[in-house]
Amino acid sequence: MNETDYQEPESRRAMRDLGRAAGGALVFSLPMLMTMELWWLGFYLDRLRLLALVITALPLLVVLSRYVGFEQTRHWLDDVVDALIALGVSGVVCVVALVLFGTITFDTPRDEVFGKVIIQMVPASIGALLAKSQFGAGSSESGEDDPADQHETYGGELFLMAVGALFLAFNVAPTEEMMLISYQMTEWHALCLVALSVALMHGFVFALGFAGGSDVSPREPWWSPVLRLTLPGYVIAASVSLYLLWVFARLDGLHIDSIVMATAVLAFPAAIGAAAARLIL
Amino acid sequence: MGRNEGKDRNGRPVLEWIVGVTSAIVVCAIVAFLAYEALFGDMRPPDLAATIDRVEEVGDGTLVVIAVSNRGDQAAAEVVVEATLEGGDPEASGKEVRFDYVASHAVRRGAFVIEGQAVKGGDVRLQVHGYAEP
Repeated sequence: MNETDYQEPESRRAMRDLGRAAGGALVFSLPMLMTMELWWLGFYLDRLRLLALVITALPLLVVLSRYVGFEQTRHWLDDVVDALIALGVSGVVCVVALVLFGTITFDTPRDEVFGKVIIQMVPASIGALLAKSQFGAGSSESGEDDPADQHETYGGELFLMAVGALFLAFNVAPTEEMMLISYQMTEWHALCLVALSVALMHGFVFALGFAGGSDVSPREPWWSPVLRLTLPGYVIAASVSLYLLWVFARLDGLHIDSIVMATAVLAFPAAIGAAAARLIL
Repeated sequence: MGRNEGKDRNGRPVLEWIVGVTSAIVVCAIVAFLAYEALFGDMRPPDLAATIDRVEEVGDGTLVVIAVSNRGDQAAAEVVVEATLEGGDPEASGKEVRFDYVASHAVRRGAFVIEGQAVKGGDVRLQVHGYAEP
């Protein structure tokens, strides 16, 4: 009853599990591993902000593991272990990639090595967890473990949006282009970008549909899903953007006007990531 | 029992509406801020000024930390600041620091390293050479 007919040896299963996690980490973090701004951030970023990034990433990974995890009944401790394994696998993947790219050599100061690897580990570990969860879904006996089919709470939907926003925004937040774009734009451009972000988000939310408790019923007025899903989604995307820009020290010395502009720019990809979380994750 | 507690008449949790309305207020605030700036904000060109932030002795020289502020409403790129030492070694004069970007109403910091001599803040004259549009 508890086991499927076909059972792999434990060690082989573990190896496949780890391999999948490593693959997921690579897919998620490769664009970032090959971005020079992230290497630079590794040595100049304020260590307190790096710590803040890791401290916020840990609970996020645990909840993500819970959310996309194998079984509803599993213990919280399993999720903590899964999150730590994801971080560990990501660490190895990032070190190997950065060494192969010649970004980390024997001459690189230890502090710089840590900085460069830690900053890459966070997005990579999201990828590792998601890949691992797919393995879990495949090996389970019921289809309930598929994150798309899981009965979803409102909080779960918003959380998934945050992860999607984080995933896409992480790719572009450290680049100089984010600031450059905001400097090239006028406030009118920013207004249009905010409107487009919200409109696209709403399109995605509708096109992809949000299953579960907060499903959009045809009897509801048009503004109901906008108010309950789209606008909170945009606020989440904007908050994730603001947080990432702060972590990557992009807002230092800026006036409120420039901060809002830069956040609106980054919130565009973040909003797409949040709305398309169901596709990406 | 209590199944409909905290839910509206469609069975939708009230919390969802609270989150929704709060989010709507935040989005409206962002839009209102941008609209206000777009309608009533000035579009003055970059107005750059370089000042000496502090002077520190390092190794066998002096570190002159400078701050470049932009009081204009537009961002400036490739801002070049030159330092001239008054009455000092001519070799140490004519040093330049280049800032990639100085955003509107923002302050960016940089430093000149003057080797082999102790320099006082009053001896250094700063000059902003110019900028390019981002």
